[in-house]
Amino acid sequence: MLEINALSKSFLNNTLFDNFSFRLDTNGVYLLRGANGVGKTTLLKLIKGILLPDQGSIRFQNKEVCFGDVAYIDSNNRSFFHRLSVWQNIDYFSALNKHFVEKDRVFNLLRNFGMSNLLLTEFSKLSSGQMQIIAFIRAVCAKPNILLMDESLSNLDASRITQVCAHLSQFVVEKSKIVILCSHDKNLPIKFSGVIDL
Amino acid sequence: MNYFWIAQFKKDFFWDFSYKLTFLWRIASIAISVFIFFFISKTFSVSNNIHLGPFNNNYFLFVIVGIGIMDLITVIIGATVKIVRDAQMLGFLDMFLNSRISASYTLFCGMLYPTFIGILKFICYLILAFYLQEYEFSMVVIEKVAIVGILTILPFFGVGLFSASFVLAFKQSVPINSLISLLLLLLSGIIYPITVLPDYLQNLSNLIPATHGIDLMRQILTNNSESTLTHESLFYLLFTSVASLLIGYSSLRLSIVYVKKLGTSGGY
Repeated sequence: MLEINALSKSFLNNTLFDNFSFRLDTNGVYLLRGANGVGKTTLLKLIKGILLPDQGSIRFQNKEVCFGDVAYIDSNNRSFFHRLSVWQNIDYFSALNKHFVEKDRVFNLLRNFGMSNLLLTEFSKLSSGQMQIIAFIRAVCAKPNILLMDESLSNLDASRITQVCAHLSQFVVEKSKIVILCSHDKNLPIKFSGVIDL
Repeated sequence: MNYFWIAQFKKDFFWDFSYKLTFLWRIASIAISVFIFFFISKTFSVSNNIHLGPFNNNYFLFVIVGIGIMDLITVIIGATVKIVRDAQMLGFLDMFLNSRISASYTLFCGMLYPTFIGILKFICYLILAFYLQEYEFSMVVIEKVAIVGILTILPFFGVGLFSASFVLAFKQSVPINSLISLLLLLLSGIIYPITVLPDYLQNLSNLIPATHGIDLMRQILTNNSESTLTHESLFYLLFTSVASLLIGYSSLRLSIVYVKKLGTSGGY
């Protein structure tokens, strides 16, 4: 399904990947792990297309990965319009991905996290944890095939982590869906389909 | 009707309206500007001036058209820079550059709301100016002003894309936009007719599309004329529009590849 072939990427004199390859053959949630600075975020950004590789290819279902295939969530809560409401943000970013979501769908997703009362709340009024959940919902609304999560559970309490993990398990039931989760938490309540060690 | 430009326009309106004082001040400032230029024009109205002859010696209308168009152009070329700077600082630039909508289309759509507001301002300028001068004009004049207006601002959408690519690559925009604004002010006959310039500057001035657009618009409005549109001027405006859009689009593509190679897209 997802195939990374002979990938190389350097920044100035710092080589992070040199002829790096791996394959993920089945749908599922995969854990990406490695020490700080080893290139976890860089790898996710390469898959998303935020960075271009020096060499090599990234293919999904035997085709070059395209922007619409991948959603990327990081731990950064800045990437929203803080003066707009939760709904206005999700509405806009969904349109940016050519997915025009219904308000009801967002309401239902929020309800799953016990946050349905926040639909029309200004984004800046949310807590860090709530912002991360909104980032998750925004990514899911884009209907990606590959969901990349870069330390994006770091601000969540245990119950919210459980809720997100339950969603992830549900998300990858579909055949073509892959989640690559980068986390330093060894006790996440989810069954990983595999581990990518860097 | 699920179109991205509608979503962008809506978002920009909500975002703009969330800063209520700025929103209101922008409207109030139009009236103040008009009155300032009305009283300045009174200073020049006592004598005939050979440079203002082609414009019926109507300096008030002359300067209002110039300032209105200048204002509109500044808004357009500033819009893309603001979009990229905001996206860099708020942290969603990578989403713009890696979505199903192309970055150039996103930026183009991002220019629509500011342009809409700029056009509204321009219309307000004209309505206030005409009210103060008890001036009447025909429907044909309005149509011609609209055509010339669109052709006058169109090249600056390309300039806007070029400015955005500059900000994307070098994280600063000041040199390009302020240079363009200063050159327009100096050479395009915004607040004085270009006939007051020495010959070599007039030649330079004629290369700038805005000079032709503003000149045409003034002639239509001040002479209330239906016969001032020349094919040469219209063709030149059209040609520069296409050329600048192509240059803007290409430079944006190049700068996107550049920042993705270096990994600096999110930097600011």
